[in-house]
Amino acid sequence: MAVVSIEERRLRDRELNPRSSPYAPWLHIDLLIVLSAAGLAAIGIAAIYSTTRGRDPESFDSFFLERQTFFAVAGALFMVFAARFPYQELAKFATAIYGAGILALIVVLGPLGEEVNGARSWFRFGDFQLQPSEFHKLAVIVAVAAFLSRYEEYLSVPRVFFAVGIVAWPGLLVLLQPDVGTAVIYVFIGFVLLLIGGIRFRQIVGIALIVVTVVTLMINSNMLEEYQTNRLRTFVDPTTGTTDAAFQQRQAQIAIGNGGVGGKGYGEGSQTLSGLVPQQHTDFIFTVVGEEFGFVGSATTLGLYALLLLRILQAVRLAKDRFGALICSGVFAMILFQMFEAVGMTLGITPITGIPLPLVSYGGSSAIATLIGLGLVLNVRMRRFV
Amino acid sequence: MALVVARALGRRALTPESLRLRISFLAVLALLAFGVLTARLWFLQVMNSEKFEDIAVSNTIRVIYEPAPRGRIFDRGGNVLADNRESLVVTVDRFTFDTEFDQEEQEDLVFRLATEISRAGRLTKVFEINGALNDPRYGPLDAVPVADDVTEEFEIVLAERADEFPSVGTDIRSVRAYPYGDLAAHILGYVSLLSEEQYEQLADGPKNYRRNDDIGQTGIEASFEAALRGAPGFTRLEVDNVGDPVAVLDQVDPVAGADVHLTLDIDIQALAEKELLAGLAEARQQEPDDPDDPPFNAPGGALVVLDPNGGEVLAMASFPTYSPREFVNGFSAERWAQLQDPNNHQPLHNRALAGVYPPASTFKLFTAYAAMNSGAIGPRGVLDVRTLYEDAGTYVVPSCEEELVASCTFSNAQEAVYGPVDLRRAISVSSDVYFYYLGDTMDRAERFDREGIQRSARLFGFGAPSGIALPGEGAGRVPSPSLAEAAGEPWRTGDSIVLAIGQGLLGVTPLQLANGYAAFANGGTVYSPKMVERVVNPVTGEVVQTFADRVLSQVYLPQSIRSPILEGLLGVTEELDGTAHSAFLGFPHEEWAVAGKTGTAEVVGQADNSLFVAFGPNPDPQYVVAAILEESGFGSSVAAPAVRRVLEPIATNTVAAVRTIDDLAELSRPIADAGASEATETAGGA
Repeated sequence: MAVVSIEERRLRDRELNPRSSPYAPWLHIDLLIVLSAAGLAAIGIAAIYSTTRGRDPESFDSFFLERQTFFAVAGALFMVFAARFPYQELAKFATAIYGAGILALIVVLGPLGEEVNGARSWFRFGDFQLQPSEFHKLAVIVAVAAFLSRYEEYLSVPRVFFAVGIVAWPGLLVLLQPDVGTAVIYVFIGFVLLLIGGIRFRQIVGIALIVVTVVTLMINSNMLEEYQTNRLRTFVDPTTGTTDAAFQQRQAQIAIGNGGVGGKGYGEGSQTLSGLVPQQHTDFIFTVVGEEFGFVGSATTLGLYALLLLRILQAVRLAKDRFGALICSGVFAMILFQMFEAVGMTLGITPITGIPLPLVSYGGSSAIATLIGLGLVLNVRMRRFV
Repeated sequence: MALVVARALGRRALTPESLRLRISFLAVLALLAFGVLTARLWFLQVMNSEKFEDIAVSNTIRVIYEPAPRGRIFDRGGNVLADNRESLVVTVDRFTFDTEFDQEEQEDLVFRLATEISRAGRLTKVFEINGALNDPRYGPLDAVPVADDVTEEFEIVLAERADEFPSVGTDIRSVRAYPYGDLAAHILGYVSLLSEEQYEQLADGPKNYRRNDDIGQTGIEASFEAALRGAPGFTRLEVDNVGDPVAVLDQVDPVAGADVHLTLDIDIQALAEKELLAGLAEARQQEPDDPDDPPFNAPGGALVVLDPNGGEVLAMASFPTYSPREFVNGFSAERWAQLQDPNNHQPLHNRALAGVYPPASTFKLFTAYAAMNSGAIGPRGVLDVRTLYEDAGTYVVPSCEEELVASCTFSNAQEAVYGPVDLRRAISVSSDVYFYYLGDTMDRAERFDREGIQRSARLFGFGAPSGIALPGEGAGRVPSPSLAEAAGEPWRTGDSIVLAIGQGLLGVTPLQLANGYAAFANGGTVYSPKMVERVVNPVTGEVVQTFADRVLSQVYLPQSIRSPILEGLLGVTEELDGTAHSAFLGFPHEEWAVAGKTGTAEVVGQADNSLFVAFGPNPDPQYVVAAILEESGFGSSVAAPAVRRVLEPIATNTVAAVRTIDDLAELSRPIADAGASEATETAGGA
């Protein structure tokens, strides 16, 4: 019987146990992220079909069902693509991606952009619309992560300002569309990135003071058009806004309350059937879940988000380097904030904004961008041993 | 390298502990977010879901009501007494009116509308329109009716000038119609908008009452509301977000209200009302003997005709009366006050069943019965049936002690002296002294029944509502020693003495009086007077409900008791000295023998009430008539002739058939007018 040294055994174990093999990142893929994302997408597709198929069982309209399914499949492919290459490579392209995104946000404000619901946020390609701000959130995450990961120590004030600048420019461009909701997402993403990136507490306080001052000045100066100011005001306090917003919020709460504990059943929600909740298949999709699947369905959906966010946060902790950790925390911030805002506004506790519920709301840009973000998280996590 | 620079600059690296803390902070943030959302979900979906479910239902469901026709009311001959007709009403859309016009525009519109409607023949005042527009019973989205019964021509005028009258429209409403005008108003009752309290009570009931619905407020309309009212139909529609219907959830057709067939004979009713009115008019022609006596105001009265075999009400007149048509479209507060004002003698008050009067001598029938039944008159009594009793004009209470009796001497009315009278003659001539003696004897002689008269009265239905199917019936009063004792008042022999002749605190309704006589006439069965024969489904003709005779009590009335009293009552109209002899002169007594009794009730400070009750033909009576005419004088001179004028057409089978208003209008149309319309038609044709 040969005596095997400890070293030898370690080497052999490493070959036998793929989990410790540096050459098999796919074996470390986080299936819980994939499964929870798939679950949310499935709930989304079901809810979208319920609210868009119409009333006539003889001729249900499957237009939105088919498109959202297509977006989900396409998004899944993009997710795989985003997870394939070593994410460290991204740092090299960060500036280029960021610059291209800024360009797109400028162009969309011009004649090439399309205005929907009063905001010039879209490009149109035939039957498809593309919302550059959805994708640019990822570009901002990558750019800030790339910048902040260069430093190991606590951030100096100039670096903080540089990082804030990276977030602020696209934020301002989005505000001009005007899309207040997305702009606020940028703020939150920036905050979380700086937090993980090593900002000091006193710096946070300083930035907060500056932001409050700037926003106050902007609202009270003549810099913004009146309708833009109104949008900002409405964002802060829906009761000062149009009666439409109040109506929407009321109908949304009625729909959710109507669901009760067990829900009205799929395709049976009266608020959903009657189309009483405006924008129900996009920003107010959670009302379908609430009305037709009740508290049980709503809580399950929130549970899937909680699972997803928990796994992303774990990826932040496990990340091999600061760049990876920062990317994951950015995606965490993006999904958490959007989820809280999009669910919260249907429950009447957050202001009404045009923010989609990640993975659930109808919309290709949002679904694909979110899935690319999750692809990056998977990428970071599965390469933690490399 | 960077690390070295950092150290050179005196900066600390971000420690793993700090990073972990920051990640934990994010976890806490997320936890907080989920906590808030879940708490809110719990609040909306678990704690308050019932409320939201209600709102969701009302959000998507519209209910459209279709009113059901109200049942009709018929008399016993199948004549329609209360019908439905369509009324064209002018409406103002409250929502448009309130939201789109300022005050000045509103005032201007109301003024022009009032002017235009008045010009078209329906006098309408500005304040009436404003009153309707501010009526809280209409909702903010309702089209409020502001004028009723406008012509179709006016509807065309409105349509042509729609731009001048924004928010104004027309609507067709089903309202009550009364083919016989004001006849039987007190019996039919009236319908009007239901009150807020009635709405609260009935809104959730099976008949789907809504705020603007009519409801029977009195008379048969009220007591048979449940049968007469149909169940409105409704369609529950599911609507989409702009209110367009997308599906019919359920539909219930309206169910017409049931028809009510009365026992009333409209021809006899017309006769009764006419003769009551005539009697009161005659009474007013009389001059008091003494100028100091109160005048004969004759403000009101009642006349009831019953069939004694079963207690069916054939006619029931009360004066003053009102027009149920006035209630159809509602009326002003001013008019309502007029109808309620005691100075106008309360036309809405149905005296026939709610008026309580002393019956006076008409009560002697029941005193006589009590005396015979208790043995006070009889072989062992103080008098036998045929024993003559000397009526010297006054009755002096023997061994009188003033404080126990109230008075020691009681006189006949008009200081009449009738000489020797037996029971029959005492009734025919209406000897008070004879009955004073009976009252005194029964009160004091312990071997007879001290409360025999009261017992007799109650047995014949006095002192309690008769149970007729009409609201507002009075109970009347039968005073007695035990009641007086309970009230802490002394009962003195004098009270029994005046009770014997139907005076004092005794109070009866005209209906009770007629019903008591009916029981005597039919041989002793006291029925609850019957007003409704049957309830019929108007669509299928199926009888929904019938009403059996209801016996209140059975009076022991052997021939030995009934015959002497009946002879006395027959003598009233037939004997030369009968009190109603002159009133019934020339009446066909042989074919149609009438038994009756006059009454002249003293009321303090007023002229006497005039009463007469009669039944015939004897020996097998088919009709009982009771009449009370307030402040009208002697029963023999006013009430008896009025009753005779009701009975004679019945006896001779010559009751005039009454015509409907439409018939009357047709008859009264001048011939020239008919010719003119024909001429126009010809001209139009050419």
